[in-house]
Amino acid sequence: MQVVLTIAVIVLALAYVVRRLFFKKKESCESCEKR
Amino acid sequence: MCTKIALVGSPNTAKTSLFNLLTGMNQQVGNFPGVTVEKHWGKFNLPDGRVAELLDLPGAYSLNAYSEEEKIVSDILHERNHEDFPELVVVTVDVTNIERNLVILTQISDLNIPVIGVLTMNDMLAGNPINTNEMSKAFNGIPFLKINGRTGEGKNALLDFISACQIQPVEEFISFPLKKNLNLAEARRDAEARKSDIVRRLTEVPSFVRESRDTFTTKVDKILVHPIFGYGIFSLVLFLIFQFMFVISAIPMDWIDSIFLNFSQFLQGKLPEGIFTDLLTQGIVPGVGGVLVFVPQIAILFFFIGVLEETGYMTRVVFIMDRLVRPFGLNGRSVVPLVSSAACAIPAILSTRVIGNPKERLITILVSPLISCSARIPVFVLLIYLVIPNTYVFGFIGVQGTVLFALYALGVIGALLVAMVMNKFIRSNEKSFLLLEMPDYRRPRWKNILLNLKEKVLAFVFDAGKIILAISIVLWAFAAFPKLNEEQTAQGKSQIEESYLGQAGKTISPVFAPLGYDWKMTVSLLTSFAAREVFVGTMATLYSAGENFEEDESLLTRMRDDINLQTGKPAYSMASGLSLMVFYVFAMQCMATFAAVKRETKSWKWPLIQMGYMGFMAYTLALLTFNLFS
Repeated sequence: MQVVLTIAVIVLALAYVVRRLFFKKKESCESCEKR
Repeated sequence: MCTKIALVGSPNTAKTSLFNLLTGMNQQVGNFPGVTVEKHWGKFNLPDGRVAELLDLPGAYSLNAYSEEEKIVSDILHERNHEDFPELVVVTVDVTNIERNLVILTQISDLNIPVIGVLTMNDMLAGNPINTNEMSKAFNGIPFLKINGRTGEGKNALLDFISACQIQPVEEFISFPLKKNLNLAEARRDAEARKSDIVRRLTEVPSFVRESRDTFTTKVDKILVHPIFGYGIFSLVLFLIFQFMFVISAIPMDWIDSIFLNFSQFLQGKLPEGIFTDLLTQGIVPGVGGVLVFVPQIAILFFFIGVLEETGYMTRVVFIMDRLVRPFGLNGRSVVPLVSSAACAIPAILSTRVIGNPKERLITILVSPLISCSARIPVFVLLIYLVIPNTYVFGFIGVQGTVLFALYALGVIGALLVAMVMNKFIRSNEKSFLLLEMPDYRRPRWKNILLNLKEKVLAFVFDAGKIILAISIVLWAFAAFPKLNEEQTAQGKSQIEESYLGQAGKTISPVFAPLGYDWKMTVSLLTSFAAREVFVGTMATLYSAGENFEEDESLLTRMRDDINLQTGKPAYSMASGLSLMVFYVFAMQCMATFAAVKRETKSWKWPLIQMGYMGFMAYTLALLTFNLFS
């Protein structure tokens, strides 16, 4: 059970990192644009 | 029928508030074709049931365009065939700065476009409210209304007016040929003629009482914009802010640190042993803690920036800095993006659109990331606590706060020097100038500051925080596998050294060894290539995954006790720590900034040049620092 959970969390995190760094580059500071 | 309406106004005239008031949630954002200026438009219902479209044009003082944003306004209003050409223009006019804000209103009227003036900030006027009928009479019959963007007062009257759409032709204000692309002399003549005309007309408005500049502002300005004291005071203000950031934020930072440490230990005790428990207690909980621990410091920085903006001091800073930055190829307006860079380079790069001169704009974009942003704070803070003694000079000047100040100063000096070099290499024929209006000093509106603060902190926690946490988890996995076999355990090897992460760090570490970094620092440099703040999360993971450490030791203690295996000395000496800090001052480790620069310059060339020169500076200056201090 612990192994399955661990793998799931790692895969999710990895997917998020890849998406964020390579597909949605502009997103990270859009919210502070309105300053 | 008026169903196509444009909203025009000078910056800071509550134009966006009015746009939000009218369109509510019914808004769309895009780009004007061919330029990077954002286009906001929305729909709203008229009292008679028809739907009208509202286009929010960028803030502009006049139709004689200088910046890219002002050009858009000028282009649309000068071309009747333009797809965005409106049937009616609503001009927002801040009554506390009425003479200047009316310039664009008379210009639009002289283009024979139906126009209505909306008076805003009426509650800021010390004397009696302005009578809109008198205004209308004095300004050739142009209708005027009063609106409060916050309470919505006056909205219905505006909607009724738009709905009725009864517009009378208006007599010309200035018989000056208004055309696109006036040259500087023509534009100045037009602006001066209009301004004196407006001043004359305002004398025909009995309810308008010119507020004399309050004597307090005049007196204070004598000191704050003084050619010598002005800079001294500004430096002192920045210095105090950094001192405060350290002294005050230390208390909540300690709380947050210990809460997460205790929680981690609590989980370790309660949960069954296993790999997921390890992930929770060594990867996720320290990862979240590593983000939240910097909230106090970021909040304090933005609080002070907010106070400076709200009181009106920031405008003085732009003014005095113009003299200082001009020799470096920058403009006084570059100072706002550069100061914003202390928060985040991305909004700073976007805000360079207000700089009319393309060369000055490009230079500002290229040097902005050298100003230390909030993402560097976690890195600096950790390293300063680690290698700089917590002592005081003269009993009250903290050495740690001073080093932080020095790092910021180093970034600023670097930015100015690079700007000067770029100024020599980038060619341009355009002349530039700075026009500013100085608001009176006033007490800050705390609500505004706190709202802005909340937005910034949430953006950090949920925006930067998510990626830091995700990278922490992935790193934990790379640091936790492959597991040591029995033979390796018997040889006394540590998990982290033999892990994938440890092996990668060791392979590349010769490149960074001359700067005084061990393989752990090298790993952290690699992982923070995309975003600097990941450095701290990496350290937290590196120093907790599978290591034999005392349970109650904090990350700082563990790092302080770490030994560089090659030299046998503490891994974090004054020399290696300072070298690392200098590296972070200059290196462009931010994918988001890279993307923003590419978007704003519309080329790969400039972001690549930027990344190259910053990387070169980071490496050579860190090398120099390490050799100077070791």
